[in-house]
Amino acid sequence: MRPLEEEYRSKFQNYANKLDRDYKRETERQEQLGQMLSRITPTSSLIYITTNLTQTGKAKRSTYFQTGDRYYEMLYTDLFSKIIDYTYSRQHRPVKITQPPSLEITTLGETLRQSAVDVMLLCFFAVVLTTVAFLKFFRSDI
Amino acid sequence: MLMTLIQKEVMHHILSVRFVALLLMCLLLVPLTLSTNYRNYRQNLVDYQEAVKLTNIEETTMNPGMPLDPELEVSKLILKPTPLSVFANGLADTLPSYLGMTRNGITQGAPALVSSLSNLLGHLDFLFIVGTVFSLLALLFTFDAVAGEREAGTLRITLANSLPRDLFLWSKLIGGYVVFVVPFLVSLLFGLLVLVWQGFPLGEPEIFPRVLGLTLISLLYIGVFFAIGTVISTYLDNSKTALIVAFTVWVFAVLITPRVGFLAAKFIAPTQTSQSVYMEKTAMRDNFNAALKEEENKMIMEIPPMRRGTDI
Repeated sequence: MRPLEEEYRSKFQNYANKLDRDYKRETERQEQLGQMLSRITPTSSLIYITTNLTQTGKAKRSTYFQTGDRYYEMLYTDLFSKIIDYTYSRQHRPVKITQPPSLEITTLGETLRQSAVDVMLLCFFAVVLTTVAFLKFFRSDI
Repeated sequence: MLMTLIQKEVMHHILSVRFVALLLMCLLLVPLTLSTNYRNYRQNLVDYQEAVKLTNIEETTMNPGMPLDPELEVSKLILKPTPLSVFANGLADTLPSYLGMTRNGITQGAPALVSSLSNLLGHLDFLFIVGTVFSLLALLFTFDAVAGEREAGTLRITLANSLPRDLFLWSKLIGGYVVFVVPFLVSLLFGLLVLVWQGFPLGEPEIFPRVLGLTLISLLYIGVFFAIGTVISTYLDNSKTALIVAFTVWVFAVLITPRVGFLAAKFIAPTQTSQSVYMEKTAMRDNFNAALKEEENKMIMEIPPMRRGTDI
């Protein structure tokens, strides 16, 4: 019976992984699009930079969920893959549950790299708008 | 000459009502929000420590030979609050408080947001003050920089002298910016002192450069809104019209456009919800288990009755 159960388990796992991958890809695409569209205003850039610097933004969220996924994989290897649902012979060998890993802290260099686009956009807005103001003022009739 | 013009501009702003408004906003809002948010952070930290303690007390061993409820949370990854959330709460309150590990996959704990009704009205933090309040004040400082002088007729008189136009506009920009930025920096410094007094680890190498970066970005953002206000002022002759246009631009730039971007993305690229994916996976596991049981029963039935006891 064991090979049959293994076959069904692997079928389910493949299907579940496909569902997860599709969902992640769709949400990431939607979010990137929304982020890109919202960047036409400097307020969005300020929000992205500030939340990156304070570790309460998108980077923190992805680290949190990635750590969760990693922890799940560890538990799957250690425990979930060894669980037998349908058998008449029960083995009594307890497995120690792995403790959750700690969240990785993004370094300042990495944070600046992630926020480079938004910093550049803010600088771009400042330079372009000041130039426009000067050009208009030079040409205006007093 | 530039210095003289800047001094004149500084005096003009200091004696105006909007400077009093700015001063009050800075001195009240910045230290108060920083102090309040630090208290919230400490409370969240205590809650986190309690949750970790509880999880550690719970059973840490499991028998894989026994059947396990697919929805049982075997372990939890609890979200630790970050001290810098004092400045910007960001996604901290919307993230799940923990990630539960079940056989079916990862479940999400309730976010902190659902527990407090006050979150309905939005979060008041340093990011909100700079992004919303100070951007509006920056426009109020600049909407009449050129339009006001043009309307009063003083622009014509000033430029009748041998004064280059660029110097005039630079003095307007620099003078206004200095008057705006000094109270902001003083209030931020005062707020940081209050935080340090409460026990905030500002001196830590991971925190201080980020706070410094936050200050520099805030100054750049205020500079952008100074530039927007100056553009509006140079294009319009009437200060009242300039004020209305500046308000409209502010509403669109700060309140509407950031939200519209994500709304548009939802229409352009729609997605499933995480709950529907989880339910689909659960349904699929049930189907697989049912099929497996059926196959097993079929195999048992195929074995001759005399051999069943020895083969299974």
